[in-house]
Amino acid sequence: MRKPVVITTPIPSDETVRKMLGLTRAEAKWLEKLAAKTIAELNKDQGPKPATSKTPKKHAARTSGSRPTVRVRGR
Amino acid sequence: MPPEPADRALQSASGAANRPGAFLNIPYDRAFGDLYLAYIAGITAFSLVPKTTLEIPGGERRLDRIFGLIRSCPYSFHDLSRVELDLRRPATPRFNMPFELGLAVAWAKLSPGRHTWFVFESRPRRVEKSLSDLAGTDVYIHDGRPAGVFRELSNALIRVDRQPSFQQMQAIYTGLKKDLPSVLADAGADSAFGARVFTHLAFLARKLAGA
Repeated sequence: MRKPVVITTPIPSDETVRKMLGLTRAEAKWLEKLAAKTIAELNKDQGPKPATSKTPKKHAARTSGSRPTVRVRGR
Repeated sequence: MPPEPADRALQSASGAANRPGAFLNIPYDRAFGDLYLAYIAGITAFSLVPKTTLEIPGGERRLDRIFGLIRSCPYSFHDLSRVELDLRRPATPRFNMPFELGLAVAWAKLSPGRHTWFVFESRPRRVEKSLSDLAGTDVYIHDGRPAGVFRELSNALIRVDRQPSFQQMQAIYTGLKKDLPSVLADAGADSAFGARVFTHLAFLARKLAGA
């Protein structure tokens, strides 16, 4: 069996990418700051989840004859 | 004597395998906005740098510049999902995308190992009708959704050594969507399909990827 070929792509430096895209240093700096702010905001939005109540929920009483239906989806 | 444009393009293409450019051939319209951001996010997550014809300035021989751009990129991604008629008068189909795919295929044939092209579509089997010359080619079906673009980019680039997770691509995409209004405002633009906005989004994606 043939071994799969792995393509190694070099990680370009910031400066290489800036030049490839034709951006000025000032534009790159502004975008860097914008990205840092966005990452911080997104991380904050995700934040720690609110603590959940430890009291177990009571299950609704099942009336006689209302057995849950098991549905099989697909195969 | 200065080299002809074609020679210059050939020179710039030499060593393309070591270059991170990825030519992105997509429709430039508002309805494609989310997928446009998804391609920029996904391609950047693979440490590639998206390049489009949006960057080509007017006033130069456009075809030479497009071909030069394709030749400078080791990869190209061609989205053929926009097959509807453009209803602006005169109503016509848009041939630029399949034409640029043809240029990439020719370049890959003429220079083995230097260029790899991938075709994307939103609907399965439609390319078999719209471009039957591609029979036998794997077409990546993204279902018209950003998540589908991430999934199919991962399938297309399975042999690349760095494999970002779906969550990493999604996080860059979310950041781009969030920052798009700021980028548009800075450029004084109302469309994301302009040279300045595109290059800003491409660099922003790189920074959102944590590079």
